[in-house]
Amino acid sequence: MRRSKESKKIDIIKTALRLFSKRGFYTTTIPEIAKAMSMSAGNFYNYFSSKEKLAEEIIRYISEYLATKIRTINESPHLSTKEKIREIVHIYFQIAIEEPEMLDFFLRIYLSNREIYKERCQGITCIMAFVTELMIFFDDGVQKGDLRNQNFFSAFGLFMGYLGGMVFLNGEAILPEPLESYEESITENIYRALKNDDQA
Amino acid sequence: MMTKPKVIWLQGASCNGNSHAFFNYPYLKTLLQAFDFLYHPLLPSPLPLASIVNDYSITCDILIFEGSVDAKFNRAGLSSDTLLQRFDGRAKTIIAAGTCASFGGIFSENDQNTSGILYRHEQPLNKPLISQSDVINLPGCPVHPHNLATILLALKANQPIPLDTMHRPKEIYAHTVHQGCSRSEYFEWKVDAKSFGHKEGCLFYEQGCRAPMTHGNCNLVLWNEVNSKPRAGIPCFGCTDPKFPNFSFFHTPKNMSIPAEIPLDVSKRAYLTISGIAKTFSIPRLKKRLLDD
Amino acid sequence: MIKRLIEQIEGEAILTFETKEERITDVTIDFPHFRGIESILQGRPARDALVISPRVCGICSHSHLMASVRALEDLLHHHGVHIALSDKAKTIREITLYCELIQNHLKWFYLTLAPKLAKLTQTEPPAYLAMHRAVTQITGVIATFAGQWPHTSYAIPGGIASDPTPLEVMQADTLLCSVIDFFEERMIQESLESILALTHDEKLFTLGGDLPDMLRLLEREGLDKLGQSYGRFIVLGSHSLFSPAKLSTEISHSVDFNHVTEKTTPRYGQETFAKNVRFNGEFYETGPLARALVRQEPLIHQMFQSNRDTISTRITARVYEIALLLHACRQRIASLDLNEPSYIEPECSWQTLSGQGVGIVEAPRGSLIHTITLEHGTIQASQIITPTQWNLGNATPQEPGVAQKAMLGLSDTEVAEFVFRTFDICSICTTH
Repeated sequence: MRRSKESKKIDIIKTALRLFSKRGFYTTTIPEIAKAMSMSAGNFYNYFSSKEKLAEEIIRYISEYLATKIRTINESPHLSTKEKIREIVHIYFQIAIEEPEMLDFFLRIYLSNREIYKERCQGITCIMAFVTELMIFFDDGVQKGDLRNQNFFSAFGLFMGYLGGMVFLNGEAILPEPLESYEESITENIYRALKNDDQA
Repeated sequence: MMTKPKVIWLQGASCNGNSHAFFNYPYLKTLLQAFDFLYHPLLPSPLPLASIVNDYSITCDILIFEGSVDAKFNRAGLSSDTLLQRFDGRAKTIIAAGTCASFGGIFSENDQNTSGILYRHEQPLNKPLISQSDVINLPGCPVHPHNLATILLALKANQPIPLDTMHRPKEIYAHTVHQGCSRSEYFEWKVDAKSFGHKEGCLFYEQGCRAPMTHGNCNLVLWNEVNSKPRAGIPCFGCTDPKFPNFSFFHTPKNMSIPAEIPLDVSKRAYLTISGIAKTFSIPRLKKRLLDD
Repeated sequence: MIKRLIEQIEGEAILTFETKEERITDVTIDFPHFRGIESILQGRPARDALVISPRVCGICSHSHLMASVRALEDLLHHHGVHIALSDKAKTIREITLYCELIQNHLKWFYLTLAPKLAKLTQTEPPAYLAMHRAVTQITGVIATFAGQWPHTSYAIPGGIASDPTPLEVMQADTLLCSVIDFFEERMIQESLESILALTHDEKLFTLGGDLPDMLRLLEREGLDKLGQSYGRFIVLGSHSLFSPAKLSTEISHSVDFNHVTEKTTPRYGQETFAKNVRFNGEFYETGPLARALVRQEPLIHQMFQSNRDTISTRITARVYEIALLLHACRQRIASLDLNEPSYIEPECSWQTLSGQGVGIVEAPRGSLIHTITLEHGTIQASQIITPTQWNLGNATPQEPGVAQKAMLGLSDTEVAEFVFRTFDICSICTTH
């Protein structure tokens, strides 16, 4: 029973993401989402008590989704630090291509509409799962002597800001080449920026 | 009336810190009445050291051994390993008082062959120095006097003393030094001490406090009845640890702002998630100085 | 040749006496307790000295901490880093150091000296358990400010790590008052103020207490005038109560540390590990007697004039110092301004520092010197000169060390051992 409620919630999240991406967050109403799910608006509220609650659950879902993928990379001992960077870039771009509404929501709604999240997701609370995996990646890279020991946010900003920027440019159709064709050069740039120059 | 157990306190390569810490035990008089102390390095003793070590007819229930075992280091003309081994079987129980006697400690840093009674750091000795007496390790630099005193009393009462795999009494060393710290609320909410010299803030993230990684009860049984290092503002240096003193003191090693070592047996992922979330909340009560309005 | 194992001191010592016509003509002092702390420090980061150095010695660990912190502060100063210590930090460091001196002197009197004298004179020694309580209280004062005793590392370059509150300071003051009660009830039965105002030992002999009792016993047994040495004294540490000076015929306040030399004098082909220390090539006594004479404390000055540096003067000076320190600690506790900062972070990067610093403090047994040399933040060399090296260092029969000289000419090696003990022996400090 509980299981099906959870999976229904995920279905709603996916539907809402699609609608938000197409029509915008503010202009999309709960009855519209309910209708797309073939459910009554009243029933919708059994799953999410408000649109803000839905927004919070969406961002947690995206964070968990990304975290699970990066965790698989983190837990692949055969990958070198540079290969891990390549894998992270790859899955990020893959999501941007295959499930664009997800990163769209993250970049255009979560990051740009902090008033929605002020109460519910102080700081990075709702995206902690994703941030944690990046921390694990950096910590491992420094421990192995591959990455320079520096401030976490300097490195995090460089990595994720870069990828977010590229996805944004891609979304605006500014990039002349397909997004995945940049993976190799971006991997190289991130690695060079973060790598430990002292290593033997 | 119960017979008084006989106790002998001997030293290897030591600084006498355990003897002096023991002398801070507030109920020393009661303790001395409960035992028959044949020899203590500070207290008036009925027999001279030379008789204690050379007269094989003298036995004891408990040998307290302080200091590391160093073949080059003599007491009463005997090298400390010989001295110790003369009591193998002659003492029913041997208490390693302090980190030097337990694991080698500071004085084992100069010489690969200097060790504790059963261990050199975390490694059991290839050739055990003691095989017939029971050994109880009470690490600490120095050992906390209450811990030593209560173990003596438990031995006297024939109480079982469950030990962990490194021969330490679980009741004392199952804790981490972090437990009972007056700064623990700052640890929970990740309010880090910005500098030394403040009552407020946790010393784990910047000042190198090892309390969450160290087995001991310094914050549960206070030092000199009044305080502990972390409570006062001095980071825990992990002095009960087999690896002591091979740690970074006064400074927390970090990888990209992430502590290289995290609390014992906590997964890094769990620690980072919890602390990342805790850090995002600003709690005015914990941000201000205690005595401020 | 007579060998004596001296135990129930800090560690142990071996005295080897040569006698001729029932008089001691030579004595060798051996300390077998070398542990190599100086080399343990090598290769470690600078501030590790604050954790490792106290472990030289369990009875004066805080003095070693202070010497190391002063050495690092001196090094920073030479490096152009401004070290600003608040009055609060300075005063608290002094209080805890003085408390360490007090606990040491109490233990020395009741555990090192009294039982030996009792055995020598076949009398009952004064009970030590009341002193034990006083020691737990005075170390409680240290722990209130420093977290624990022994082996705290609370003094750090720039101040102290702790942040005592008004109630904690009051608690420390109460503990201190209780120790003063003990002193006035048991050691010298007179108020601290009156003791410090004494100008002649005649009055001291009329008082009750364990010190006057010991002095009367020494006099009765004809032991009081023994143990005279060079009558040269040196104080090298700077504190609120003490300042550097040397005294041979008169007091001179110009003591240049560069005239201090340390060397080993191997005897009978064996390595003693205890290096002796000289100033300008001469042996000097350091410790409470030296400090009292440099301070020109009236009572000790008078006793020195009458009895020179004999054991009665030496013993009285040390007990008198307890009174002086207790009194000073109370004053200093009352003067604390807790609003001042405990710690002002020095503007330096510990990872890149190079240079050398010297830290000198007055430890229980006298002047203690730590020298630390850093290269790129790592300790390249460290040198520790302990007070006991000044007093107990081994030299030749032609030019004996301070304690050696005090024992020469005596007929009884038991008595000589007692004279030796009046210097307050720390084998583990001497060799470190």
